[in-house]
Amino acid sequence: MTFKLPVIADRAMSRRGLLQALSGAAGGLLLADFLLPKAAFAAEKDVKRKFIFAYFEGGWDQLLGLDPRPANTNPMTQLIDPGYGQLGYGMQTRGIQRVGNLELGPAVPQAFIDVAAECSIIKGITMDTAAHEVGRRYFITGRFPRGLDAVGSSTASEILAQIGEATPIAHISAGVEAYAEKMPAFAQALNVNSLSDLRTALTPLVTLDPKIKEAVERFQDQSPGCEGIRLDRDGLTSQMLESVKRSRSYITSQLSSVFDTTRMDAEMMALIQRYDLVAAQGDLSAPEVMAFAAGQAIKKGVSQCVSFQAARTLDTHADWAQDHPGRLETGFKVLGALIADLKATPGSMPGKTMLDETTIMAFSEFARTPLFNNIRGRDHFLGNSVLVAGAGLKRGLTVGGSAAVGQMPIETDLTTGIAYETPTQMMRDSGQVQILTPKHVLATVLASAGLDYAYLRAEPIKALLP
Amino acid sequence: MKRAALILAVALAACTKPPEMQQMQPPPPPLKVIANPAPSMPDGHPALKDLAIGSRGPRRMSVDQLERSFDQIAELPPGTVKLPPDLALTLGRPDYKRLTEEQLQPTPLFMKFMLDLSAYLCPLLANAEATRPTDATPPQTSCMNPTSPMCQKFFTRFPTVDENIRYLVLRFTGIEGADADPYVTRLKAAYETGSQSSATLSGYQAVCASLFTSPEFLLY
Repeated sequence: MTFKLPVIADRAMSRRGLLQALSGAAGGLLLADFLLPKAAFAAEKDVKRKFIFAYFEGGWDQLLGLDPRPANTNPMTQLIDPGYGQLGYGMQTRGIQRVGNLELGPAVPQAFIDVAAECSIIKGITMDTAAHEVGRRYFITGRFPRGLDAVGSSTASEILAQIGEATPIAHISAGVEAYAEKMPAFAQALNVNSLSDLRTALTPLVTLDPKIKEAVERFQDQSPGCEGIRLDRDGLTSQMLESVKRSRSYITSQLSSVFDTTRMDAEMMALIQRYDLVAAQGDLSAPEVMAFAAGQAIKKGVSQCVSFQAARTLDTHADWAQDHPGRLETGFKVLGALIADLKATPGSMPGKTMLDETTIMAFSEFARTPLFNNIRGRDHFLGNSVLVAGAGLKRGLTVGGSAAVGQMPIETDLTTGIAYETPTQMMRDSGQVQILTPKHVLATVLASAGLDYAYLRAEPIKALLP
Repeated sequence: MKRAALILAVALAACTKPPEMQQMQPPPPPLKVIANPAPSMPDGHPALKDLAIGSRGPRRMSVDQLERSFDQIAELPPGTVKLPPDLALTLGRPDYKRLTEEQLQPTPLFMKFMLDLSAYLCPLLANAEATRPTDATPPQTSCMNPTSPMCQKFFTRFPTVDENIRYLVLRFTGIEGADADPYVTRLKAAYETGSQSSATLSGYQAVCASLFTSPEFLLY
């Protein structure tokens, strides 16, 4: 019996060539651990998973929300001033609120405390920026912006590109920026600024005569002319023609009644009460309304991913005690209502709720300084925290942490979730003890559904994965 | 010794040109202008004339550009058309609170609004056209008085449908001559389908709405 070396094309591989190939492959295998994190291919891809990204606009105060400190913390020695004494009586008496292993600040209302056990908190995230646009875009895409420009695509678009199109409007982005670089058309977001926009997108404002409509649609469905092809250099014409088709499908899908708050039936009345839509006072871009739209889009199968603005104008550099707590409280109130709504809605599998099929991430572009500035406000702070909830993630956990003095992020063991102020060299050498970034958080969200997170070049926080 | 030093100083001062003398030097000769300077390129480099000229990529019209384009195609004085502020925000105009740069993606929502806008404006133009006096002279320049019947002439300036469609293509997209031929053919089909409706000048309304939502109009 003779052994033949494999032949590539018409050239027989020599012994030297074979050894070179083997050494190259061995080198690649050795380097793979350093160059690319292993993607969570082991877990099965959950193509039915839904995602909600709740954005708290302006930079939230962790001390009032996800990373509170005792009210008697000494600002002189610990460089942290919780400032709880400046809050209104109702909030002041709340103090730090404990739900299992979670600690929540005084701006978190009872509506959220009721569902807090469904959530986990990730503390000690470094943002590496104090610019709104940069922090926001970093969290939206998982890639650090180039200057102020976002790099890559929204995480929602990355998710959709992996799991495919299964809903009429795959991604609704309500009051949040969305990016889809070189993504399939269905992965691009329907950007709306208010519920009014969303209704408008789903309802014809002016009805064209049927014959004229037929003529126009036939014209639109034809391939563009020479000038249109010339303008397609970067794919803009194709994108526009695809958008035309999608806008037509939104109207024919007759989904507008899902978001019609003027409906008088029992279901809508209950939703108006749950989301406290009366508090919005007719403002169709208010957080209450946005959360309602997000819940409806997910529950009714309109969308698989929704990004919405849960709180706004949190950028309070002055008069913190007057402005920030109430706005942050509203954000947690609507988030609580959304989680409660999903929990109360049966899922597609028997015995499961919609919350069991939906992963939620609440984030802000950065947090606020633990000490006050000279106009009783808090400025931009590099540290941050995130709240996650729902499918594919452990609930009731706190992972990561911030320093006892100054509240800067400290290193976290990705496997255990324990934070260390002074990790040993051996811990660091293990590669598992790292300062957390938005990349780690988004990798965790992707890994929770068995999706590929290799493009983020960061490991997920395994402590949060079941 | 002192005397010798003094003589030397005087001699040096005498040998140094006064500043006025330096300024009176003749001007330098004019630079030679070489026609077609051919820079030497490395071996194998393609000829410069064959290289493609780089340019910015195509873009969607901004809200301001759209407003001025509506003025132009409807022959209204510049600044007449103003989109409602909340609609302009939805179409991508920055509010400098949350959005600090114009969003110029041709999103489904944007295209939906364009279709809605065409459904609103094209019948208006058709009705204005249908009620204008037949003997009005076609204006060749922008109309200064939009209420004048002459300024409402839009769809039927010319005796044949083809000529009118060709005029609309020019008005919306700036495409003319032989380049417009394929568009005229396609739009004629839209005209014929639309003409089956009983609406005023329905064929032209179909042409108008088709052009309103075309990449040739909205991109540049």
